[in-house]
Amino acid sequence: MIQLGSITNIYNRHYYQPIYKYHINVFPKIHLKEKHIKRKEVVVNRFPQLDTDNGIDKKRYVNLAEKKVKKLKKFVTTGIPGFDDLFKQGIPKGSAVLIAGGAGSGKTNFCLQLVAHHAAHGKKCFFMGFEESEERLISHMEDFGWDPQKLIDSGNLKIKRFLTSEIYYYNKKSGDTIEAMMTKEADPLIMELEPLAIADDIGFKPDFIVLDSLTSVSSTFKGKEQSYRFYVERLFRYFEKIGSTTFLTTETEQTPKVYSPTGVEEFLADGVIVFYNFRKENIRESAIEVLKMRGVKHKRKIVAMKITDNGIKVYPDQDVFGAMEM
Amino acid sequence: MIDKKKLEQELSKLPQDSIVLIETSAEHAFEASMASIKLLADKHDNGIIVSASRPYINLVSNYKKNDIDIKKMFILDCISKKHDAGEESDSVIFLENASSLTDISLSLGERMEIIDGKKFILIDSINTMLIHNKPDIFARFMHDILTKMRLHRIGGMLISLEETTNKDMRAEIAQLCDKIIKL
Repeated sequence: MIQLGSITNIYNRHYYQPIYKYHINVFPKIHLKEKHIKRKEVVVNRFPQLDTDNGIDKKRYVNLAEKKVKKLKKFVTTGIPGFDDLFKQGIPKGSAVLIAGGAGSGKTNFCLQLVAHHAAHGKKCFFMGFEESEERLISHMEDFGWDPQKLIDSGNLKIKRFLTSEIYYYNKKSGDTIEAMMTKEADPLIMELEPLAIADDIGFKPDFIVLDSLTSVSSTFKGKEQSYRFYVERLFRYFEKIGSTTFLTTETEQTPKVYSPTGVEEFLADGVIVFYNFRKENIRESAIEVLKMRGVKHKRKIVAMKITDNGIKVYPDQDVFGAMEM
Repeated sequence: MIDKKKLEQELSKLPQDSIVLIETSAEHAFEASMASIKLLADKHDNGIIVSASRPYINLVSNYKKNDIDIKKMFILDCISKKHDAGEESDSVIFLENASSLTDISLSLGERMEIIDGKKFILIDSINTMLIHNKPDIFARFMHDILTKMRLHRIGGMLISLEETTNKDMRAEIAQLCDKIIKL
């Protein structure tokens, strides 16, 4: 869900107030909400006062409403209850977002919930698992009641397990592959190749991609850190090129200070979402934070999160007392 | 024995959404808690009890003895979970322990929204909660809870032991309350 309040605020601040100033007696209280601006006719019907007879330009409102809808389409939400309220508009479409956190903090569940939501709403989603098998990932989804088989059968969701030995550069023209770890970062040949072959592998252009996890990919390059950095840079450029919104998980400490295997990934990523697992006496408190998201305003606060029987739920206004002890 | 008449008189002077700190001795704490709940339950439609000192089963039997309508009560039990002391129901949830401040705050917030009618909140032992939490963190928690209560216009009581609560902590909590009653 997109925050209605924030849209109304932007609308009011930039467009509504100047008009309001001059026509205060004509329509003293108007609050344009998302549902109104999405359907321009509703704007006019709902506010009959917006009439040229009263000196107010109806077209101006309709144009502004259309502009607003266009702008809204540039953002994506996750469908995770409470999480989208951390953003003013959402995550910019086409972003590459790191999902960082310790073991058992909810990273994979977050990504599964996200693809389940979008696949159920007709978007094409591709989950690339480097850690767990397809069966286990499907079983996790079933445990939360997301009916993964239906989503897979609909053609909107593809879950595929990759082996870390399958990390390669791919030649789109010839179909040849080169094992990424065997290459030198300075090899000019690599510049011609793709770090993955997503569209060819799954037969559709995904709206959402999950890569779980970047940590597993990095382990393939053990002892060849320079090659890994180069590969990761190519990987981010590739995601940018194909235009999908991508979520890449990384394994960190439970209360992380570094959010990715080398630290480079968090600079390359457009966004970083951090999962925490604070220890307080003999219990742990789950929390989440949007550490970085290029191009959008978001809450800069660690907030409470729970993994419930129905999936992840975020509490955007709830302080995390365990975090205060750190 | 606590002076129940004094408690009743003091409470009758206060608006229903007042937040009161009850200070009492260790031997009278439970009696003070029961007397407070009885008075509040008679005046309100529902009550939410944060129990850090007695398990749910024990509270229920004591409510029955004190003629308190159990149907009006919702209990956040912060001590029974590790002893596997029962199933959650419409009248109780079991939280990990008294150090789960985030969980307590979330559950209280949810119940404030869900439970209809005029309601009160009673935290039965500030001192027990302080055993499990650092004073500065606990002070923030209390501030969070009392702010939520104020925003929802919900009154309530906090039970504290007079002789053992540290001075700074007492001052922090007292300044957030409308009235302090010593029993």
